Order: sequence, then structure tokens, then C-alpha cells
Amino acid sequence: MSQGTQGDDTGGGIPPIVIHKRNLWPRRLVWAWVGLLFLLHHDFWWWNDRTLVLGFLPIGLAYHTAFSLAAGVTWALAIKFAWPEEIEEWASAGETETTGAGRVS
Amino acid sequence: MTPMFAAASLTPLYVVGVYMLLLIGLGVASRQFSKGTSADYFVISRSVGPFLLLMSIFGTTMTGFALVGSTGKAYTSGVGVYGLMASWSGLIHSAVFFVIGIKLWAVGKRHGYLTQCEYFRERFESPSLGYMLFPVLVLLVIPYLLVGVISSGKFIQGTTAGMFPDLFPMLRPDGTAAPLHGSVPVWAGSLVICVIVLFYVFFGGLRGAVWANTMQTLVFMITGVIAFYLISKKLGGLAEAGRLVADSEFARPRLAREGMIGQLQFFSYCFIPLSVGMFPHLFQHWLTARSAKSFRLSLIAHPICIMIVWLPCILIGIWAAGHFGAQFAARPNVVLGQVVRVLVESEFLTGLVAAGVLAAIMSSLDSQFMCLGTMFTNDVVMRKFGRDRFTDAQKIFLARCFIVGIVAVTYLLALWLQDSAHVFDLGVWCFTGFASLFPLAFAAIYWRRTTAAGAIASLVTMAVTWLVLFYRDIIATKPPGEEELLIWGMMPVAPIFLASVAALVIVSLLTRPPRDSTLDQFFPRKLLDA
Repeated sequence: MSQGTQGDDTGGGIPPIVIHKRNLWPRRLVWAWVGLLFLLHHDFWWWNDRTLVLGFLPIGLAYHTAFSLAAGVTWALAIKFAWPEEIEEWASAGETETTGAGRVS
Repeated sequence: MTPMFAAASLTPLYVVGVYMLLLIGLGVASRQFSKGTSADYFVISRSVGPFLLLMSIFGTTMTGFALVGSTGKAYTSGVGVYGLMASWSGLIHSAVFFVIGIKLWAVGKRHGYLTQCEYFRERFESPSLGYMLFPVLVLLVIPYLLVGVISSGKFIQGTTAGMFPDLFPMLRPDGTAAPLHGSVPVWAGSLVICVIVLFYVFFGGLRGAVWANTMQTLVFMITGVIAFYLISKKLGGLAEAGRLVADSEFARPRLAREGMIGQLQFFSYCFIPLSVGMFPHLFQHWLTARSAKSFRLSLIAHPICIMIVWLPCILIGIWAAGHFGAQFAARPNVVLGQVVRVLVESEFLTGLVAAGVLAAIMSSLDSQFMCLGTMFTNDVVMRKFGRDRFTDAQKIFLARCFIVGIVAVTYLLALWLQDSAHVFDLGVWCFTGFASLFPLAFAAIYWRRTTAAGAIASLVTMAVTWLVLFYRDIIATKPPGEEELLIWGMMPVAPIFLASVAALVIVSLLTRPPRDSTLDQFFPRKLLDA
């Protein structure tokens, strides 16, 4: 992020969030993959299948176990390629610049 | 089948007792680190790091619903239960952390917010919204607490069967012993758990709750793996357990979803995990975490941790269907307790596993208790009387009084609903309510045009439809043949969610937009930088 940009365009108000163009495509790909996983959750093809994988794991349950693992990998990739650094920078730049009305502290 | 009424030893109860003493000790120890201020008591001075955050978020999310409820539900409805909750949650919980959590963290860091009422009140410049949201959140947390209170009582009842035949007899009309003869009654088990959680929360505040959460989450995950190993071994190994289910007329249908769960019902469960977007304790974590990076571990590990807990529970549920047959069909809440009691042969390990299950239940109760106290102090007392009206000690005292009041109400409701309400269904109703508030959180963050009137309309619509359908499903007597309330084949969450969205959008568009100066505080302009 170009630090000089922050605050310059706001006339002293809330600074803008600056997003690097190079981050856009990885983010779109990650969210497209999440959308695909959403659709793949509905495994109607195993609906009436009672096959036991490895002799004990019903196939529908095995599929959804793999789905959980895929979700974990997906979010690891999302953190690597689509983490919104700019929001962290934005938040840190103006920490508690305004005050919540009724805090305990 | 294994005999149900072998002479019961008290050893498991002693093991559980030692574990409870450890928890009390933890509460006392965490008090030594207290700075004595209300900020430290309620938010540990905003110092929660990645590991404690994961343990706290995961431990709180995995309540009796995930252990007692999922095992019982798998016993009645089969393996599809994993897809209903666990795999949907693995994908959607983390998506909500990503889409909502990080943005809320940023706003919380900039503005210093602590609770969601405070955030929404200022985002929409509407004190009324804050006052209306508070009772709705409390109303929805109560079923979550009920899940914990009923689960703990039922689980203790299941695992202590036969221990106190003279003190708590339970005989059939013909004079023979019922399956739960001599067990600790639900009222006593639930009461003990409530008192212990209250004790370490009162002593240690949020620090005590987070420390206890971490310890309890580790305990229930480790003991869960041990229990799974012992139970499968007792059944003759994994393959033999699978064969037991396949050969049982009662259990075999539970190996697939046909006839157990409808297609639309299965799909409509995708709304349920959106509830994490409005859970008060999670909202508070998002607003007060040390840094956004603290959430990274939770994002990745949450789906995996859910899998580690849910997969054994689902398998144990269908194995129980094969082992016990239909004898617990009307009381699925006791299935896990019975499995542990009958199939874990070592008395010491039975106690250890029981402590692990109770750890999971208590790790949800403590965070909820704390969160309710914080909301009451922050959103009601201090709003009404001003920040400086009470000393820190008085604020903490008021929070404790409110928590005790809510726990007392929950306890009485638990005694009333213990036999009629299934833990799984109660949990789903709690999630339904919070999920139907998700449009409010999403719109507050992403839609500038949302107005206070739209937010209030969404809140009221959600509350009314939720109450009507909850009454119909959980409290009212169901028509013969209706086991679970479905609307057009879908879970009630789908129509409640859509009604909430419709009210928010329509009323927002019909009312005056918020002031630009307010919106600029919450919607910074975005610049693209090459």
C-alpha cells in the first residue's frame, strides 16, 4: 500500500481503503471455488447408497468428511491469496479515532 | 447385547468430580491474573491471541448440541446429519468469519466497540434498535443455554444409571428396573453443572471462561478420540461395527439419507451456519480481538476441528442404532450417555470420557454466561445510567446478578422441556434465530442504503416469525405423525430468513437514507492501486 495515499484524498476525514489490483483475481478465484464447493455439498448421487468405504464408513459420510477437509484447505488458500491486508491497514491507521458511546472500559 | 443393569461403580463419578474441582481451581487461579477492572473482567483487556481465540470460538460453538445432540440425531436420522451441520458449517462458518468478522474487527478497532448492540446502535444512529436487539439476543441465547443445561442433565443421567438405586429408583409398573434406574436425576445433574460454571465465570471473568474453554476443548477432543477407540474396540473393531449396522433392520436405513432426510430439508440447512454472524459471543470476539490475523488459525482449523468432533459422534450414533435397536427412539438425548456407560468398559475411562462430554457442554455455557453479563452491563445499565454512575465492582456485581437470573430461568425451562424437546432440535432453533438476523449484520456492513427502520423491521419480522414457529415446533402439541416442522419441505430457517431479508430491503427503500457523515464512518471509500 502506498502510505502517502492514505488520508490524502479525504480532506482529513476517514481514509480510503486502498486495494491492489493484483489482489483482485486471486480473490475472485477463491470465491468462485467457494461457490463451487457450495454446490458440491448437495451430493444427491450418494443419497441412497449404503456402501461402506473401508468396511465401516458409509459413503455419504466419507464424502462429507472429505468435504470438511476441502473446506479447511480452501480457507488456507483464501488466507494466502485473498487476505484483505488493506482492511487491517485501514483499521490500524485510525484505531479508536471515534469513541463508542457506552464501553465498559 | 450387553447387559444393561450390571452393578454400577461410583468410580466414573469420582473422576468427573475431580475434573470439576480442577475447573474450580482454574477459575480461582485465573483470578490471580485479574487487573481488577471491569475492562479486564469483560474483555481481558482485548488480549486474546490466535490459539485461545480458536479454542474459545470452537469450544463455544461445539456445545451439547455437537456431542449429545449429534449422536442422538444420527441414532434417529442416520449419517446425513453430518452433512446437515458439520460440513455446511465447515464451509460457511469460515466464510462468515472472512466476510463479516474481519470487517467488524476493523470497525471495532477504529471505534472501540464492545458489543453488537453498541455497533448497530451507532451504525444506524438508533438507540431504539439497540434496546430492541438486546432482548431478542437474550431470547435466542436461552435455547442455546437450554441445550447445554438439558444435555448435561441427560448425559449425567445416562452415565450414572444404576449408581444410586436406593436414592433415585426408577421402576416400571411391573416392579422391574427401568433402564435409568438408580441414575442421578436431570434436575440434580443440570443444577451441579450450572453452579460450577457460574463459579469459575464469577471468579475469573472472561479470562476464567477463555482459560476454561481452552482446557475443556482440549479435554473433550482428546477424550472423544479415546472414547471412539474404546467403543469401536468393544464392538469388535471398525469393520465389525459397520457390519453390526448393516445387519440391523433398525440401523441399516441410517447408512444413507433416503427416507431419513428430504432433499430440500438437507439443502435448507445451508442457512443455519450463518448464525455465527450474529452470535453475541463471536460478535464480541470480532470486535475485541487483538488483530485480524488472530482469526487466521480459526479460519483454517475450524472445519477440521468440527470434523474431528462430529465424525466419531455420527458413527457412534449409528452404531448405537445397531447395538441398542429402537429402545431409545423416543429419548435420543440419552443415547451418548448409554453408549459410554455400556460400551466403555474401564470405569476410570468412562469417567474420563464423561468429563470430556461435560467439558464440551460447559465450554459453551461459560462464554454465553459471560457474554450475557457484558451485554447487560454495557447495553442496558450503562446506557440507562451513564458510564460513571457505577464503580467497576458494581458493574461486575450487576452483570453477575443478571447472569444468575437468566440461568435460573433457563434451568426452570430445562426442567419443563427436558423430555419433550430434543437437544438437536433446540440447538437448530437457536441457530435459526441467529441465522435469520444475519441479513441485518450483512446489510449493516455492505449496504449503505440500509436504514434504522429497515433494520428494526427485519428484527421484528424475524422475532415474530421465529416465536410463532418455535412455539409450533417445540412447545405446542404436534399433530399425529408430524415429527419435525418443515415448511414446503424446508427447515423453518429458510422462510424466516427470507422474510427478514424482505422486511429489511422493502422498509429500507421506503425510508430516508442514513446521513452521509454517519455512513462515511462505516463505509470508507475504496481506491484501486496498480
